[in-house]
Amino acid sequence: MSDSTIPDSAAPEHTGGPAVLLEHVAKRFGDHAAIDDVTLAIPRGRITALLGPSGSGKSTLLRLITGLSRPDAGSVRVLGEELSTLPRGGLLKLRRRMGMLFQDNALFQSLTVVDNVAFPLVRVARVPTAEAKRRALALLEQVGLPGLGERRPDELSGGQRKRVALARALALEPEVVLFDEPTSGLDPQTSAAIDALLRETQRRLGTTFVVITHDIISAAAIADHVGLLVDGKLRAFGSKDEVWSSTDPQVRAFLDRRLPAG
Amino acid sequence: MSGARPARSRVAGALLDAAAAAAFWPRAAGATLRGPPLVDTVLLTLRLVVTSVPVVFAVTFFSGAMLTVQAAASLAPFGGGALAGIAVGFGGIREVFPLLAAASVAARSGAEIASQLATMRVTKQIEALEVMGLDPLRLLVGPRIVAAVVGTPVCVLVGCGAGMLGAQAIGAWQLGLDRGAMWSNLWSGIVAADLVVGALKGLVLGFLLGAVSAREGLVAGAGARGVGSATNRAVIRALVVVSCASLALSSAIYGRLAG
Repeated sequence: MSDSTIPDSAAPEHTGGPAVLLEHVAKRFGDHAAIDDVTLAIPRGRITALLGPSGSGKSTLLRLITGLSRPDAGSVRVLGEELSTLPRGGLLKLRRRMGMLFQDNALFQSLTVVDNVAFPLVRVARVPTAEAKRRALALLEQVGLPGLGERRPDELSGGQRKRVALARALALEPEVVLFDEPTSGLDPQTSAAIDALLRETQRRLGTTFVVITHDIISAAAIADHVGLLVDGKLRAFGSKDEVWSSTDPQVRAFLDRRLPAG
Repeated sequence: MSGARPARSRVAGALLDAAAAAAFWPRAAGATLRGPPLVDTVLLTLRLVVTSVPVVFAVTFFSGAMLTVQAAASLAPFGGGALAGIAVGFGGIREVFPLLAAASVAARSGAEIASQLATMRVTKQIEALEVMGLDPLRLLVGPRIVAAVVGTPVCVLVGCGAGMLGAQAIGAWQLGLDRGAMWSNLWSGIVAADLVVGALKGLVLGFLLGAVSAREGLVAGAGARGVGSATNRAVIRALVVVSCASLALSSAIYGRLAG
């Protein structure tokens, strides 16, 4: 395993370099270093889980990758584009190649479920409304929500809302999908169902999934690669087996407290 | 001495915040000029007018009545109680009714704009738009600014009419003034240009109250408390900005006549 280094084995069947490449990235909030000299390459066509306890800098890292926040130092490249040199128009275009599932789903409460999923198709891809709704209904079926299109988000359960958010994130057929704590607030059974759905969807589409989570069980279930952030530093990065067998004391301290015995 | 520093830093913070708020106005104008979505804009404009008009009508109707009572009481010792309509007509149409109409729109629809955008901010719906590669200013702020710019002049004209009706009602029914003379006095000094100026003032005040409310919604803090604070700040700041702008416009337009 290589700690805080760029892995050599980045998805051999996918060319064009890593989906996301961070080099010596730092981000401070006042005196607090939220991200401290982080370097990592997230391979294409795989599920990469970025683990860490609360306050470890995971969400800040996600904001840096989406360009919602700018680093104080270092370079962030997404799909080969250096974010710091992109003009606003270029950043908006790049974001159209990315999807994101927010921790609280961020569904539009004033729209029905099908309109939420159709929204990026209509507003971003300029797909005619009828065709967008047809595609949205197909996506809802793929995520296991047939027949719920006319409901409002607040009429759904937590797991169902998560599925709607996934369908919306996939609507524009993005090359990278970012997930912010996808199983947060869900019961174990629903979490397992969402994990299975993510795994199945990624295998079917071959898209790059980046999952930010503190849930080791979930990461163990879905990830091909794992990174561990502690206090803003990347303590480990590599294949799941490499990280799981790490002897780094901080890595072990995090994993041993949370991984079930055996 | 130790208390002076926090006071100074509070003042500096308030000034910086005011500068940031003012810096948002050109961005709001830009968002409006980039062509907001038509359907959303029409629906929001209709909603603003429909929900604000009853408030505007009530506030300006009773204000017109109160102005008339005060004007009649002030002029009565000089034997000019019947001329109250002239004073109310001038002051009401040119100043009081447009200002009260815009303030009512700020309280009713400005608060709604701020709370809607603040809710979208705290539930990350605005970030979701940004991540989709969409421009939240064009999609969310633009339609609301257009609604305020189009709807506020309509509300100003409704307010002028309601204020005159309130003045007529109290003058004729309570003060016992001649109905025909009262109505004639109310309108005697008013020319069409006064109503046009009132509508134009409404347009400027509408832009300002829309921009102030939208900005407060967009910078809302976390949680339900953040939404509440943003809404409260939006109403207070919009009222202050609308009052200042109303005075500035009146000074610019009518100041020369006074001189």
